[in-house]
Amino acid sequence: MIIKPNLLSRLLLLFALPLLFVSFLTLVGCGHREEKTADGRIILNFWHTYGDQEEMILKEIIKDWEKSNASYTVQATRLPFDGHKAKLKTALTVERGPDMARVDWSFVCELARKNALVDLAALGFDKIRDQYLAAPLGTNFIDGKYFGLPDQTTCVALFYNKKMFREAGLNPDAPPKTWDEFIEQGKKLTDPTQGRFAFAMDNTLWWTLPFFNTFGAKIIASDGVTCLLDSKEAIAAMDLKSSLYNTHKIEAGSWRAGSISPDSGFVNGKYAMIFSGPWNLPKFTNSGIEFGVGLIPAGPAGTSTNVGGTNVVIFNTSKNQQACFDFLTYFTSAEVHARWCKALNQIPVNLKSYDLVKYDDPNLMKFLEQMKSAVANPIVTHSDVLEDIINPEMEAIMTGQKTSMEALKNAARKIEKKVLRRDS
Amino acid sequence: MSAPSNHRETISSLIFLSPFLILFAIFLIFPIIYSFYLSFFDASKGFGLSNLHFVGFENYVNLLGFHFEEGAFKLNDPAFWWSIAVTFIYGGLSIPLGIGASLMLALLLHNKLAGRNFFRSAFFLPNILDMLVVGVIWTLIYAPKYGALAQITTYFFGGDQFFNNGGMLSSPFTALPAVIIAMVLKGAGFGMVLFLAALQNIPEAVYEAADIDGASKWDQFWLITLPLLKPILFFMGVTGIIGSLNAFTEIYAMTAGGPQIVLGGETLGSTQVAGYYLYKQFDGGRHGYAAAISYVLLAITLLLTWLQKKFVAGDKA
Repeated sequence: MIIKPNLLSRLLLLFALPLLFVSFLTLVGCGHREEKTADGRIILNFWHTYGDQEEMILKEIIKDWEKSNASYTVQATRLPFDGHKAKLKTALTVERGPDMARVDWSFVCELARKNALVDLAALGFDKIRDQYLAAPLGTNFIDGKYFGLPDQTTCVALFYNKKMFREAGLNPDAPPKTWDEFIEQGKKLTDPTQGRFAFAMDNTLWWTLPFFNTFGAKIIASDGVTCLLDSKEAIAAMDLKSSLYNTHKIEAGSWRAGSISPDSGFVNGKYAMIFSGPWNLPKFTNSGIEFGVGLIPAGPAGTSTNVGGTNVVIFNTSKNQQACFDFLTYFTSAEVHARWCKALNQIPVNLKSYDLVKYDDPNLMKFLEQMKSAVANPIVTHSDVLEDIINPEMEAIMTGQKTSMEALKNAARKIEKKVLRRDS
Repeated sequence: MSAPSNHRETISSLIFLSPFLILFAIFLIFPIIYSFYLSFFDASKGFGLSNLHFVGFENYVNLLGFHFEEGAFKLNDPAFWWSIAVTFIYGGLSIPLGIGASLMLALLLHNKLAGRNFFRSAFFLPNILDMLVVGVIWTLIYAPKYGALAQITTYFFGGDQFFNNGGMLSSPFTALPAVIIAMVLKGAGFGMVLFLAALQNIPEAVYEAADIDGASKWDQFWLITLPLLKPILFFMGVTGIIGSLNAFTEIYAMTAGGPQIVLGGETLGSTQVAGYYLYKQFDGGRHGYAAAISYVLLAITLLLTWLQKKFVAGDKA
């Protein structure tokens, strides 16, 4: 067979397309380099997961910072929160990560222990460290070093439906203060024939931390290799949680697959009380439901809650670490952060911002109060694996297949083997 | 054709095929070889894959081996063996049910029914939908309180019954059958098209001859139709086995491996098939271990396909 000239050109085209594609991939996969705008300003890539309203304010803050830092420009790229860990892991694997990013608190440990982050001490973090709230700041403290700045913090508190309280003959301005009161009021609020339940909850570790914390149970010992889930405090906390569904029957079973979620049931007047965070205040207000916020009922260790939120980190592949640090310091500084929190109705992470923000919303004020009793979450490299071990065991407790002692003992040994020893 | 011309034709064929072959090599051959290489390494200490620690066959030993503890031999990874068992139950139920449903639909729609073209399209339609979408739709159907199944059963039996209280996906005994029902109904349309094509190729004369010989309709089905559909049955069996061993999306969308069941003191996911277990390992950063699982699954797939070819399909299939 003879290849004709017109055939040859088609052949070249056929070859050229995949080769161009492969070349493009190769170029994309090349090492990290400093990027500049057409007018010569150095680009600082910032990957974040903010919402629409937050992004608008972020852009204003970036503009303000660039006015006094004319040689730099911050290029903000939005990622979906649910996919941000996977996206960052992929980018870091091919060395195409950003200069800095906003990440979930639980991701900082893995990033730090896998040597992806800059130790902030070298950039001057010690001078500003004390201005941040202790609990969210603690999520950045890995193996004796700080690897991030907190930019947003949340915790959960008790949302309750005032109308349902009134209908059950309870005081709508007095949510339960202790677990005993919670159970007592819960029985009055529950009517399974009408599909109405006093309480609805999730059954993952993060959502169970308020139970553990109100009983003073710790998850990981200070030696970092012993799991304390089988302590008597943790077992008592889990027994209480299980009894809400199995013994007192005041919990709706919303943790089961396919059930009505706590948020949806609360909005629809099916669940009188749920644990949730300040992120739901606008949603619940807009739904027209008459609700209030109370503290998590107190256990033997008083009221307490978990810590959620995000941190901003700098990657060690960045060529402009100091500039990134300067921007993030500005971003979380007292005045700028106060402006951010006021506009978005969020809890400040900068202690100095508390004096600059005056909140009108009593429900948000309750979160500020709850935050004071927050206990730092367990910090491990593989938080997903930790949840994968504990959550099934907690489900076995809730479904009555295991006692709290059996399940938590089993979980503790597995965590020591698969998470803590792997970390050490 | 002479030898040089044959040679030239081979070269030109390869040239024409090369765009595909290049992409095939980059995106399929390389990952297959690289994942085998990866299965001999521990989890990376960093995010890059350049800093791996060689562990030899340790991943395979941890996966397939056992150890002596508290006076008894125990499996190193009982969750993996459980996931294989769940996969076999999943395949063992979904493959025959899928073939049965496809064949039944094909036989029904092979007849001269009014509107059969509409029904053929309607039954094929779920097959073009993405697995994740189908999974979400069925999750909504099975949901207690507001799900379609709960609403229908509540109308007939009142609110205090299984479908309304917890639903199919909340019990470790019904969750896997619930996924199987969804997947059988999704895939039945595709099998139906294959069987219809094969049925249309069976000459009418064969049935006429059987009629004359006094064979009943049942005899005709067992002795004529079914043997002539053997290649399709083999194909559906093999693709069904591969599909079961790769099952992931339907579990991800519908149950996330749960609900949990306690067996011998171990808490195990009642729908945790091997594909989903592999994903969880990969997601947890244990890339080497996940790669080892994928090669064990490959070995099982090859073995089952060979057994099926040898004992079910015969030499000609």
